[in-house]
Order: sequence, then structure tokens, then C-alpha cells
Amino acid sequence: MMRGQVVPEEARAWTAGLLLATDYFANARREAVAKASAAILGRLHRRVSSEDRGSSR
Amino acid sequence: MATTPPVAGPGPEVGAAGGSVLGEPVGRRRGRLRTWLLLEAGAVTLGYGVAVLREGAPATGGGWALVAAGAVAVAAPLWVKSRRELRQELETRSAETLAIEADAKLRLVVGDVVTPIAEVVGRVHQVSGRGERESLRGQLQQLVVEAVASLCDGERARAVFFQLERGEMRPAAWFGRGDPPTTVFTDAPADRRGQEALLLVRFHDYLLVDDVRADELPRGAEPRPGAGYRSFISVSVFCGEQNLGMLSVDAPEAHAFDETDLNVMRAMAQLLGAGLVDRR
Repeated sequence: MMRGQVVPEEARAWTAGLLLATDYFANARREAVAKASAAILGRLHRRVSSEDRGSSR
Repeated sequence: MATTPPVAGPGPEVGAAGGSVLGEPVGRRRGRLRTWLLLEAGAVTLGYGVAVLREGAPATGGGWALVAAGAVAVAAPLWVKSRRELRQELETRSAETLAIEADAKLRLVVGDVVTPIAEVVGRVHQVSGRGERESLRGQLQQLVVEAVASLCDGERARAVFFQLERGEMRPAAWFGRGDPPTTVFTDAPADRRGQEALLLVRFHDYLLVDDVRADELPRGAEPRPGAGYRSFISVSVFCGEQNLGMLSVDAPEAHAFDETDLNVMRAMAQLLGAGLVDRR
């Protein structure tokens, strides 16, 4: 289950001018890469595992 | 087209951090591969040694030549196999990095940029006071150029919004590398670039130029003398029939932008248009 704000506090701070774009994007990019990395590796892992199961039958 | 994305700048770090198909560090997998190859070579050498001990060491030059030929015959396939497997490893790692970069960019564009900017667009149309609305619109212009400069792949990109007022376009908001924009696009007969830019806005077009020095540019799209950019994207900002200006991003490198950047620009220009349009 996932629950959170549609527009997070940090994004609100950027749109309100309370947070510099450079800081906002540096942090957003870091988080996006970390999440993307976990998602892609997870997807690849699941695919490799299912192919292994398929080939061992 | 671009291959050096600031957005995915951290991409190579991901690779360096050692992610691989199974989430196992690449260095460790490569080390294990080498260990297996060494074990394989060791086993062959041991077998060869045992045979030599049983049969006795070669007594002639021809015998030693046969030993040397055998060693080469064992080592060469192992060396080839090692190189091929390491190359495959590298290709897998590159594919992973590219996939991670693409996924990260999608997350940034949709989650971190479009969502908060769409919220500001909504607020522009909710406020009642003219002053407050104009202030929010100024804020929106600035947010859009910040987002465009940060999302588009050009290194040291600069984004500018040229606002259309009384038939002229002037820089209203900008973000990115150094020099502030000074260009004013007019419809004056001598201002060929201005005329073309105004036409681009009127026809709701976009223009992506990979290299201003190499491409055959449409008339009026050439840069002003001494301009500090090689590639750019310009997109008309409009809403319905209202023409509002032009959103541009440029970079000092050639081929800095690709079609994904163009699509980001188109989406941002439409968001900006939705926020700047007057109620009629």
C-alpha cells in the first residue's frame, strides 16, 4: 500500500519560491535515480527468475 | 542527439555503484568469473602436469615445443572466452544504466515537475485579485523555465520564456547558464529572425535545431552573430486562439537535445499557456 501527498511539501516549497530550483532538482534527481534503480533492478530480477523457472521445467 | 544528460547525470554513478541485472555488484560478479576461469585453467594445467609426471619430462626440443603448443591451445580459448564474457557484462551494465536513466527522467518529469506546476496553474485561475494573479503568473513563468533548463538534456542549458505583447516578444523569465537573454523579436522588416519567431508562435509550431552551424536552417532561424549556443528548441506558447509567446531552451553543445526533450518542451509550453491564458 502507498499513501502520500499529491504535491509533496518539497515541491510546494519550490513552487512557492522557498526552495531554490537547483536544490530542488538535485534532490529530486537523486531520489528519482534511486527509485528508478530499485524498480529496474527489481523488474530485471523478477524477469530473470521467471525465465529460470520456465527453463528448468 | 543527446547522450549526455544532466537529468540522468547521476546515471553513471549508478553504474559505478555497481548495480547489475540481479542487483549484485558488477565487480563481485566479474571477480567470480575470473575465479572460474582460473580454476578451469588450473585444472587443465594439473592434468597436463600429471600426464608429464607419468610419462616423464620431454627430452627433446620437439617435445618441449609440443608442451608449449598445448599451453597455447589451452590459454587462447580461455582468454577469448574471458574477453567475450566481460564485454557481455559491460553491455548488460550499459543497458541497465540506460533503463535507469529513462525511468528516472519519467519520474522527474511527471512526479516532480508536471504535478506541482499543474497545481500552480489551477491556483492562477482561482485567485480573484488581478495583482495576485499576475504575481502567480510571473511565478509560473519562472517555474517553467527552471524546470525546462533542469530537465532538458543539454549540458549548461538555458531556458527563456519570451512573452508576446503588442506584436513583440521580450524575455520575461529565464534560467540556466550565465548570460541573461537580450533578444527582442519584432515584426520590423529588418528583423528577419523576429518575423520567423513570431510566425512560429502564430502557427503554433515548434523548431528543434541540432546544430546551428551544420544544419540547413530555415530562413530566420539562424542565430544572431556571436550567440553562445549551438543547439536549441523553440516552442510556441498558446492556449486556444490566444498566442502568448515562445518557450526556448538552448545549449552551447551541438546535438544537446533529443525528441524526449522536445516532448518535455511541448508539455511545459502547454502548461504555461494554460496558466497565462485570459478568461474570456
